[in-house]
Amino acid sequence: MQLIVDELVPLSQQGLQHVFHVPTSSFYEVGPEGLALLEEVKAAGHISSGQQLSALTGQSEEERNELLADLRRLRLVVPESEQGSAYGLRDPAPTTEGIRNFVMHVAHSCNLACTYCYADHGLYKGRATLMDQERARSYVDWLFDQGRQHKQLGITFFGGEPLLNMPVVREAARYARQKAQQLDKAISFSMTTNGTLVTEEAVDFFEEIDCQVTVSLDAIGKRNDRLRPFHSGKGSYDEVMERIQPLLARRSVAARVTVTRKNLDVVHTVDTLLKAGFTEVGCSPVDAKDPAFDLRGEDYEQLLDGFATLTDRFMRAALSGRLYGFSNIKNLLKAIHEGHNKEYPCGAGLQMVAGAPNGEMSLCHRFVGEKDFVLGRVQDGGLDKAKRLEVLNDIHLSQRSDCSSCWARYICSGGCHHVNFLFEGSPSATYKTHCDYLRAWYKLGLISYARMVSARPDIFDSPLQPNDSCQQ
Amino acid sequence: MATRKIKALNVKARRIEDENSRDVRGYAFNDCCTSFAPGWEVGYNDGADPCPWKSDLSLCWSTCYWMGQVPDHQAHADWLDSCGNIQQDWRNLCTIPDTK
Repeated sequence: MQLIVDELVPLSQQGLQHVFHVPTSSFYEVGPEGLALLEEVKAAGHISSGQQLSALTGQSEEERNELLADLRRLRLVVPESEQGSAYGLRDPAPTTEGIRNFVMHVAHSCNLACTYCYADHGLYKGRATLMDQERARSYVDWLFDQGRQHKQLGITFFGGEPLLNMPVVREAARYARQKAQQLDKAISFSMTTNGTLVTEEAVDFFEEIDCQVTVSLDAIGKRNDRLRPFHSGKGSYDEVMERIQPLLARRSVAARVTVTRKNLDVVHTVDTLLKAGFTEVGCSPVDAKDPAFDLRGEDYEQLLDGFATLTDRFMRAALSGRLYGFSNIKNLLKAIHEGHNKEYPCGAGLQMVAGAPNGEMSLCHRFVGEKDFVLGRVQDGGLDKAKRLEVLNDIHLSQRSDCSSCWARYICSGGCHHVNFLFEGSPSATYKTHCDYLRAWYKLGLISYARMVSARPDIFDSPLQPNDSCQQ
Repeated sequence: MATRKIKALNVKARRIEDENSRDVRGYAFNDCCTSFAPGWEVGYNDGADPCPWKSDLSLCWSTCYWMGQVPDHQAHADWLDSCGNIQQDWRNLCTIPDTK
């Protein structure tokens, strides 16, 4: 039988002797002999299973044959007919039946005027609107009605600035909790806020409904102020930090940093926010379609340098049993540990949709206001099955020919639909500017994972706190 | 059977290692059946395969539902090499020697 090397990413830098198997996302330490043998087979094109193997120094033929059998058993070398097979180990396709998480746009209005805002300062290509209570309740009814098969449902309050419409947030949460109790389901809540309107009473409410709050902050002090001013032009940093003190004191809170060309110093930002009391800080490159903000080649390198420094801090802390709350690496290590290999990048349209004040339901919160991605209207009974299926088919990994030869395709799965849509005109196109950056980032994750497991083999066996919600 | 020189690090790798920890097992992919039915002699691209056993092992799971109950060619990758041509060597049943 002829065997070939399956699609692998070898890692031999920094003393590593590891391979990542692309079709299954399995990760192995193969040792110097394993790496050498894989390279030899790769160079030769194939090997026959009974073939005499030329001996490496210090290895008997028997040892070499045993190693080859191990590589075969672990599917790192395979018959050509099995090349690229996931052996049923691809992540199960998410159900297209019931939506689990609903993003409720309670306010299409914002009291900040962030200079790069993709949402048109919260207006989403429309006029300033607050969701009314009746609409919020109809969304809750719809969520519970169509999500019958799920034990756990979730609502994210989003905007604009959701705290501009606190009465509706309260009513939606009250109504959802009442329904959950009646139907014997669990309901969870989260919110992304700019922090300017947080009060003690709001924190009481967050505590009452156990709401996971994420505060958007992009940098420290004046640098944040230039990116996140009030409409008057006044900076928001000092006011936000003062306002959120009770929140930081009483709750576990995440910060979300949108990285633009003007705030690339992520190490200082993340470090300062963690010291200020945030449990976690996550960074995401902006997609503004504005050259003043969007990252380009050298910016990505600077961002990656910063991520490498923060990853190093995360690793040192983790190895001494502490959490350094740099979300990006924590989430990536979790994905590597579990061997995620998926054909959709996120749950948009599958397990999550967003709903606007006017009743229109969209692929995700970022597509609100884009008419082509309205999947239905709550007043018409919810999602249009045919439209939803059409969009889901269009954004499946198999439709992305640009991804077919990329080793990271089952981790990235084509990237954020909205980024692709904004820059390339379609969610199923590939925004290649992101690709090199993402591959370098994933490689850093694999190297970090290998080093951490090498230092402490059981380090990932206790559960990492998941934080899977898309906060873009 | 744990490998001696290769460490399975993440959850997926451990699953693959565990799946292969049995020496001999029924050979089935997904929900492929093990019943006997005509069609097994048709090889890849509908051509006759010189070794129908090999066809069962390597091909049927992708071309038809047939799957013979045969030894595990993952743990014993070379067992087929001794039965290259069933027409000349049909008495050789190509079983895995019982080493236990």
